[in-house]
Amino acid sequence: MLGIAFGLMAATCWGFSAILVRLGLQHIRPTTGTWLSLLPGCILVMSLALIFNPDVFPELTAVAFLWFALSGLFNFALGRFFNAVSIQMAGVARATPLFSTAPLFATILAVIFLGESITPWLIAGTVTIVCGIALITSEQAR
Amino acid sequence: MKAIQSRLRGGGRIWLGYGFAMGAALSYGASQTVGKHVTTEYAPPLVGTAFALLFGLAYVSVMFHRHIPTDIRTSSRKGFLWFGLSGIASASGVTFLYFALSKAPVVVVSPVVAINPLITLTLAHLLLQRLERITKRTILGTLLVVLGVVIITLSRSTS
Repeated sequence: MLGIAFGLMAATCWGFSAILVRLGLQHIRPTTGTWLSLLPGCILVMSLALIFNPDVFPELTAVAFLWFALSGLFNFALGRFFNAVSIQMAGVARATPLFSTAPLFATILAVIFLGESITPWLIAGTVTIVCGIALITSEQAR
Repeated sequence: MKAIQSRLRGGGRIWLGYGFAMGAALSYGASQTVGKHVTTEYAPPLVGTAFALLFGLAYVSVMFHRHIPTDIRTSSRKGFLWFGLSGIASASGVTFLYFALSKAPVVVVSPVVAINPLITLTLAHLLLQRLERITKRTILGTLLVVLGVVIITLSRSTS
């Protein structure tokens, strides 16, 4: 039950985050907005990491930092910036469902690079997502 | 970027927005694959995310170093507030996700978290009526996307 409650809180926080980006974009361009959104997030999560996992820091290897750098590039530099630009251009209601299809891309990448198998469920999920995207984008195509 | 935006009006601009949204999905998808490797091999999720955020901040600082100082001097303080709060909300979301995963299995947490576009849609309807038009087609499309994401995440976490 607690796990579900925390999951709902996570989803709500991300919902508010997208709305706040939409409001912020009325005053600041996406480039600087992305930077402004990363700064407090970085301070908050680094503080929590230091509180909850202080013993891990001295043991981190150079290779680990290369992976952190790659993760930071995809998630917080490219992902966050594209996210803000898409909200500015398409609006939060239409952009959010599109960039929430990330698990589909994660699965495709896992099939290509990690050798995960293609299952009927994966195909069913992909078809459902594509139908959803087609519905959302057809709004403008009409 | 501004030059491209100024040449695009209406439909073209929205389609470019869709392209960026799919670009964000691809980037987030790639980061999930990398993140899985990071958390299984090198560090707990919180530490991995903290350093990924630090590197992300560094990249963005370098990439947009010409805009940031000018905008900080000239932009409205409201923009600072909204984006700052957005960053805190987003980071809080990540933290809650880790707490959720520490209390319940992925198979339970993933579908709950996957509903976030529906929450965004509801909040947009309640708070952004002046800025956003939400149609039945958008709602139905979002429901289908959420359903598809739930199917994929559940099939991966149970396999």
